[in-house]
Amino acid sequence: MKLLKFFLIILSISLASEKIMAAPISITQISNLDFGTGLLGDPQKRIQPGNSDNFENASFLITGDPGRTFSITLPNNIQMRHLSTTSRIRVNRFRSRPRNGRIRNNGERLLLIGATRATLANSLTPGKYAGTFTVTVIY
Amino acid sequence: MTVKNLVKGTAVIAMIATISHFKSEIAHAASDTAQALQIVQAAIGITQVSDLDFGTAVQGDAAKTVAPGAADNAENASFDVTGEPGLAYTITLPSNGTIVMTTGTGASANEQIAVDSFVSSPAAGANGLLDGTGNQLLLVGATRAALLATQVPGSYSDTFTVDVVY
Repeated sequence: MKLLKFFLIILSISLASEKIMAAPISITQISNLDFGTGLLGDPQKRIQPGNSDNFENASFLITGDPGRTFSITLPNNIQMRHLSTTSRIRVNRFRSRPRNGRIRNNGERLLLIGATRATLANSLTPGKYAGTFTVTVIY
Repeated sequence: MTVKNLVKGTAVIAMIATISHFKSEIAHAASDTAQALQIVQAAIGITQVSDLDFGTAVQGDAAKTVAPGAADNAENASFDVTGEPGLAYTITLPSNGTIVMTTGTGASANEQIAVDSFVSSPAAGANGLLDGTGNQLLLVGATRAALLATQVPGSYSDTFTVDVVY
């Protein structure tokens, strides 16, 4: 009977622990990474993650368990593609602020992203370029 | 069911519950996407087509003005400006007192001829506008000072710069 009680205690602990499971973490995009307007021949351009959402950096809202730490996965590099030709511009050196964060007491955390755009080679086709990148958060 | 079997069953349930609990703690992950955006425009360029040519004159001649005109001609200077179709640009011409044509060593006044009052079409300032193919012809005129009675005969020249910027 002692053994039975022991396992029942373990079971009750296990079941009780289910009640303190972490809430799922979520991430929602707020703004894009916008390198603005450049001229053919312009040097590479770096956008800093910054301290707040601005017209250049990308931003995401992360929600989850207050106080919980999370890690962030950024792309190594992506290509922005011309909307109607095969012309491309490389974007790399993605950086975030925070690098790895903690959900604030209100259950939210603003994630800011910057990156570096390659030199605008003279061979590029003028026009609009866009590329999609994915940010993953985990705890 | 014996007590022994009940214990075994309970143990299995406890283990499953515990394992499932640990699984729930392994990770929560979420992803979202954003766009990286860039607009690329052709850089502005300017290429000289013809020189500003005051022609031939004699000592003592009055000042001469070459008008920018409406098309490239034998006197005015002209430049091809190229860049982003439809984009406006600003033109900067030489200031007065900066361009002096010289001959010989150019050391004395009678080896110098000042060129001032540069005028362009389109006019200096934010008046340039590239057409639908990204081109505009920029015409430049100016005024040559009167020639001295002692002006040294010969060929006089100097270089001037025209700047264009978006």
